[in-house]
Amino acid sequence: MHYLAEGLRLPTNALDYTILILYFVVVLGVGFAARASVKTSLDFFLSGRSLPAWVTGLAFVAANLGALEILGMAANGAQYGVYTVHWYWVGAIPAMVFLGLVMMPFYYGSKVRSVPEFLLHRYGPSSHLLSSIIFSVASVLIAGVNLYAMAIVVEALLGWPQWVAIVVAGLFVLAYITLGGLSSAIYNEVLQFFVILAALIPLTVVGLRRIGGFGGLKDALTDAHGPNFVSAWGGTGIGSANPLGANWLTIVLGLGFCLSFGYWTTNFAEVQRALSAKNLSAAQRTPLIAAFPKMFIPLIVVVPGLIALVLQPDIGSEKSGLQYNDAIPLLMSELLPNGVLGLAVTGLLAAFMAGMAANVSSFNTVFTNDIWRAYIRKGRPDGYYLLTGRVVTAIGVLAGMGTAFIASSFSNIMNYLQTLFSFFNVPLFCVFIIGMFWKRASAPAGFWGLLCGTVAAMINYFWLYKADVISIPSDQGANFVSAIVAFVAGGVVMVAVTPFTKPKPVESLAGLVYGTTAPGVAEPPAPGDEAWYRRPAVLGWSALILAALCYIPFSL
Amino acid sequence: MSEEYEYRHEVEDLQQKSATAARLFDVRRIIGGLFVIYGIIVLIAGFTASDADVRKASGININLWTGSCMLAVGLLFLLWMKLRPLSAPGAEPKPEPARPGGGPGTGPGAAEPGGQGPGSRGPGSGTG
Repeated sequence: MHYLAEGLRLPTNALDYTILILYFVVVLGVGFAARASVKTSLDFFLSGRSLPAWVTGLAFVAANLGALEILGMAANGAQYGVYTVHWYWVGAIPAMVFLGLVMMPFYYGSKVRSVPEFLLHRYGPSSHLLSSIIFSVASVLIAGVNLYAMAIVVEALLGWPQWVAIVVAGLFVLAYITLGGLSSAIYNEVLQFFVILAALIPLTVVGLRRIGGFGGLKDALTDAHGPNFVSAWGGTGIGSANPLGANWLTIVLGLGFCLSFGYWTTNFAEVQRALSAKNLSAAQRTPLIAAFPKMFIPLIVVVPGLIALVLQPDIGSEKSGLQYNDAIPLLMSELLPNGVLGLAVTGLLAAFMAGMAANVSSFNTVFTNDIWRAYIRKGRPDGYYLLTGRVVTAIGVLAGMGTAFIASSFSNIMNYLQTLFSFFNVPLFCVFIIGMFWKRASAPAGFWGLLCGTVAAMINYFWLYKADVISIPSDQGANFVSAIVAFVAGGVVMVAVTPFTKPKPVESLAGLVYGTTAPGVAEPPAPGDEAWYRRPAVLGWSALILAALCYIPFSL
Repeated sequence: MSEEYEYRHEVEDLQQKSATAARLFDVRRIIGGLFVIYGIIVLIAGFTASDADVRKASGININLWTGSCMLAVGLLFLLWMKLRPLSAPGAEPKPEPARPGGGPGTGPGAAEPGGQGPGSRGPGSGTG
């Protein structure tokens, strides 16, 4: 949680508010217009599995491009320097490519409607219920934290009282998702993606111009913070100290493998976008298409963080009263005239709302399908579950708003809870990947792997690290190490439990494990999908090569 | 087929009945429309910019530039929609009817760091 300084109030005028209000009207309009397309529960939860790849791909990247991500990564840029690019080029692209090329055939081909549902069919009810409940609770909590963070930013920038911002944003999200389901969430995410670009590109251009371009930026940072600050790998040797508190090994294994694969391949708020694509090829291309914009987002997010550090060298210190999280709001108030300023405010609010909408639209799917329908009210007609989905959406948003109000008094607890939940994704990935490639892995092994991996990460983080039993220089570094611990513990427990438990019958694994095929007829590819630039392998490998090339200017 | 696969039939069934493909509007209309309107608003702000505005933005009339780029992006989306409209599947269930293929549907515009342009050159859009 961060508190913005009083001095960040933006000089907004009627022009800026026109732009902002127009956006709210359009967001609601999308919800109303999408309502006509919702006939079945599949329409509501997965857009009827019918969207084109470029739409799901941009929604995939936008669902991750929430305002907390934008403000947080700019803050990391100002605090850690160019190291921040690791969150993109090592910490996102490889995992997105892996999701598209390796995991998507199992997810999409098995026709599951959610990530937990895959666990149900591969392992059974115990791991399914565990992950469904944790995912649901975490989604509501994160939606609430997101709302609260937005209220603080809006209060500082526009002077609205916090409760007004929470209620307005919450009700808009509630309205458009209840009306149009996932389709309106995804369409608004695509729209938000472009509005964010329109907000951040002018900000970066003006900022760069102010400090003398990339050359001026690099010189100023090198003079003030040394050469490692503008290098991606400088000072990350094992044993050498750097502000990130991590070395190349924990960066590559902890961030690049465990944390990032856990987040990108098993977080249903992301995977849901791909599951709504119209065929397997489009589903595979969803994260691959998303990888290309994702790669260049540091240019308009991390670079502004660095610019803010040059313009305001004491940012993040007591003296200035400004926190690292204020980097982008600071540039907005310093550099943007009315007009573009309104766009920037709109982009920020759009990002907050889209981030929350991604949580809510994945929450209602998991709660309705994987908890309510699977364990509480089975076998009702489809219309019943469609209605349940709408009601659950409303309940989820209201619970998120409640969480936001609570968060204002317990913000530290909220931070701990978020860290806690982040440890759940890593063993989840471990269980998935072993389950997809090892037929023998049994149902109890899945459950215990999940549980023990999560507990091991928590022990490492909250006990060994926080109580100084082992010494890791920073929270970030401890996060990376905990992720490695979670992955290894989950894997070891699975391998240890499997030989002593009954395997799942082979015929129940068709389409869920490598080397098996789903029964029934495969969906035919759409015409035009065989073109070379639409082949997943071509897209995936180009993304990987391009991400590696991105490192060159920062490694020499 | 065992009951293990019942859910797959259910999903296939719902997919047949799904109305999204037939009734969901084209998102390009929304993006195009909003960007044209925003472009015009910001352009006007650019034409009436004061010296103080320009000085604040390091000597660039940023409203003028942003406005014209947004207007162009908006028009490109509308043009793309006009050139390659969604193919309406009508009452016909799967398999999907053929639609015109070809064109690079891969490039969201952020792949060009400087430009705001989306991959407005190609289709890859038909909701079919």
